Order: sequence, then C-alpha cells, then structure tokens
Amino acid sequence: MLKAVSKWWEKCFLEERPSTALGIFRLAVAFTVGAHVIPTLLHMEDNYLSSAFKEKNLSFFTPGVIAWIDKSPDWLVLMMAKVFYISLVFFAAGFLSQFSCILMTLCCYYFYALNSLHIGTLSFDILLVTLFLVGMTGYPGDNLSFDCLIRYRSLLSPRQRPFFVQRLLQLQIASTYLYTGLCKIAAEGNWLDGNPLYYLYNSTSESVVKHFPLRSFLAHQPGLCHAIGIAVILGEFSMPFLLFIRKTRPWAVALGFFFHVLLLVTLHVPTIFFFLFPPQLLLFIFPRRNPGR
Amino acid sequence: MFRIKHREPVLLRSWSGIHYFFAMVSPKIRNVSITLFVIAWLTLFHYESLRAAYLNPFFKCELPKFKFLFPPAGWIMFFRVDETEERAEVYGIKQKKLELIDPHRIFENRWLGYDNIRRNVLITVLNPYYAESFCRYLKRKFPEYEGFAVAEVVYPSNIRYPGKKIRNVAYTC
Repeated sequence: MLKAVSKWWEKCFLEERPSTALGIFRLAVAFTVGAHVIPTLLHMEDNYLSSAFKEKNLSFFTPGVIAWIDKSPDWLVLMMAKVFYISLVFFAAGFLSQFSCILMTLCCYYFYALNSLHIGTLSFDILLVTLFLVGMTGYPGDNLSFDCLIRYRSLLSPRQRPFFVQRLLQLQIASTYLYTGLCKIAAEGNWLDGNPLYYLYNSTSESVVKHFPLRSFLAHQPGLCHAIGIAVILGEFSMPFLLFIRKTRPWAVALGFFFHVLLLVTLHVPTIFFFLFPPQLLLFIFPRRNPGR
Repeated sequence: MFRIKHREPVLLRSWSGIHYFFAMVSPKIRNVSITLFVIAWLTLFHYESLRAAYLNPFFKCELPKFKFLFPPAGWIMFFRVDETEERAEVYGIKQKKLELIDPHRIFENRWLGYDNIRRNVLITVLNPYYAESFCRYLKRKFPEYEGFAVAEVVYPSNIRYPGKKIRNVAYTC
C-alpha cells in the first residue's frame, strides 16, 4: 500500500518531465499581468501618486505594511513603475526568468498595497497565487526564453524538471472551479434558492452585464436562467474530474475555453479570467517527450 | 535557427534559485523538499479556500487568515446576486446647479475587454471613511466645479419594481 502511494506521489509531483508547457504559460502570465497592471500605471496621478484617491485592502495586507508603503514619496512610486515595466519585459522574454518574475510580483504587491481600488480584484488575487507558483522555480524560463537561448543555444531546453510546479498549477485551477461552484450553493450562495442569472440580466444598463444579443431574451426567461445557473454549477463541479481523467480532458479544456469566452462576452469582469485561465487549462496538455531532445 | 555562440551563463546560473539548488543536492533531498512544499502548499490552499465560508462557521470563531496571498473570502465569483442594486453617483455643483459627472471621467482607466466602472468600482466612495480623500481628489480633478455631492442610488428590485430608484445624498464637499 505504502509503495503504491509512494509510486503515485512520484508520478504526480516528483517525476521529471519536459517543462515546455510552463514556458508557454509564462508568456500568458506576462501578458495577463501587463494587461491588468499597465492600464493603472497610465494614470499615475489619479491612481498612485500623492494626489490619487486610494483604497486600502486591509484584508489582504497587514496595517503595518500598508502604512509603510503609504509613506512612499512620488519619486519612489514612479521608480517602481519603471522597475515593473523592466521586470515585465524581462519576464516575458525569459531573461533572468525567476528573478524577473519575483521582481515583477513584488511590484504588483507594491502597487496593490499602495492602492487596491482599481488593481485589486478577486481575479488579481488569483493571479498573485499563480505568480507565487510560477516564481517558485526557474522552470517557466526553461523554454522559449533568452535564458534557454543563452544556456542551450536553442529555444527549447533538453532538460526535464520535477513536475510539481505544473501539477500544483493544474490543481489550483481545478480547485478554483470546484470551490467557486461550492460557494454558489453553500455558505451564503443563492444559486439554488434564488435566480442570480435572471437578476443579472434584469439589472440596470450600467450594471456589470454587457449588452450581448441574447440578454433581453434571457431577461424574460426565469426558468431558462435558473437552468443555465444549475448547468454552470454542474460544469464547475465536474471540471476537476473531467480535467484529471485522460479521456475527458480535451472536452474539459474545450468546456473551460467556452466558459471563459462566455464570461468575456456577457460580463464586465477582469480579463484576467480570459487571459490566464484558458492558458492554465492548457497545462493539462503536456508533451510526454522533450521536444528539445 | 535561434542558435548563438555558447557561453557559460554565470549570472543566469546564480539567479536560477531553487532549481539550481535542486540540481546541486541529491535526488532524495530534492524529493523530500518538494514533497514538504507540496503538502504545505496544498494544506494552505485548501485551508484558505474553505476558511471564510466553512471553517469559521464550523468552529464558530474567526480563524487566522494567511496574509499576502489568497482572496480574503475564498473563491466567491458571483456567488450571491440578488434583485437589488446599489450604485454611487457624483454630482458637480456649479452656480447652485447639480451636474451628474460621468464616472468614466472620475476614474479614467481604460481596461482591455471590460469596464471597471461597470463593475461598480465607484461604490467605494460611499464609505464615509473615504469621504475626505475623495473630496480632495474631486477638487483636484474637476476644478471647474464649486462643490460636489456624492449620492447613493438604490434600486430596490429590478424584478418587481424595474426602474424604481431611491437616491440619498451620502455627503457633500
């Protein structure tokens, strides 16, 4: 029994495999971070300098850290913006990958602590969790990077790496779907006894719902909205299982893509969901052999 | 293609952190390190995912939150939506007349693929704690106005009373 568990554990986390998928994922993470953070840096006076209107996230940071960051003079804030741009470009290019990832993540934390009003969303918290795992090792810089080009004279690395980083990223996204579904039906969620989609489609024209073609039709179909809501919950519950079963995996990835396209089309939610989650789903599809070999 | 003259990357090697450490130690130490990290990470991840909604009510106390990582209330995307709606409106006062200010002029960030104002980001300013700093921000941003009024707009039910809204002035500056 112990031997079987040990073998299973080794296969899940310790086995060395190609890290090509992590290399592609690094590019998606860099794009996502840029797409989310750069728009806020274009309005420094309104968002981060001493003239800005700022909100503090005391649930995420400690008061001491908030107070410390808040003492930043404007020149330091502007310098941190430059550090962010440089580290983002380095990370995207895969130059000093791990170091640039850590530096970029620290910049994200800095601006988040400085003012969480625009940058701070639930999806940004998810992105920070992802960045923590991505910056844990240098594996995401193994392929399609300057690091690889310098080290191996090729964009594809011949090296294989322990699979734990990719596996944890897989588990992260699968668990996120599961817990999102769980929150909708338990705790304070009202997706079973209420009709959230129906309420959303009937919300005001300035609300979070986009003006997509079927909106006015769905706004008059409470039964259909409730059924779609149940289907969403079932989809979120089944995703972890569908993703980890080899035969259903391609369908689960396709379902995930469809779900995130629907989110993009129907709701004004941060595009982190669209830019990060589909590439993270692609981490379930990995080459068995190393293309760099 | 994409080949350059090989050079030993001393700088890269020194910055390659944990995987450089892994390369240096024996596979056994490496595997134990990874195993400990994976167990710790998964424990923390699931603890934070369950803490606010399940563990706190179960243990009937506020369990400690792991700061600097993970959302404070777990993965609560659109978990509770009801038929009421609450928004904030900001008015500029000019010659004793009120003019509604477009929220996109107040916060001018332009995002890729979505609108943060539509995510109701302006509602933060209704909190009395932020009144003073928001007034200061408005005065800098819109010097053409003599004063401002910030109002809370409540739509009691978009289903039963569509279009009905109740407006209350939260504060003026």
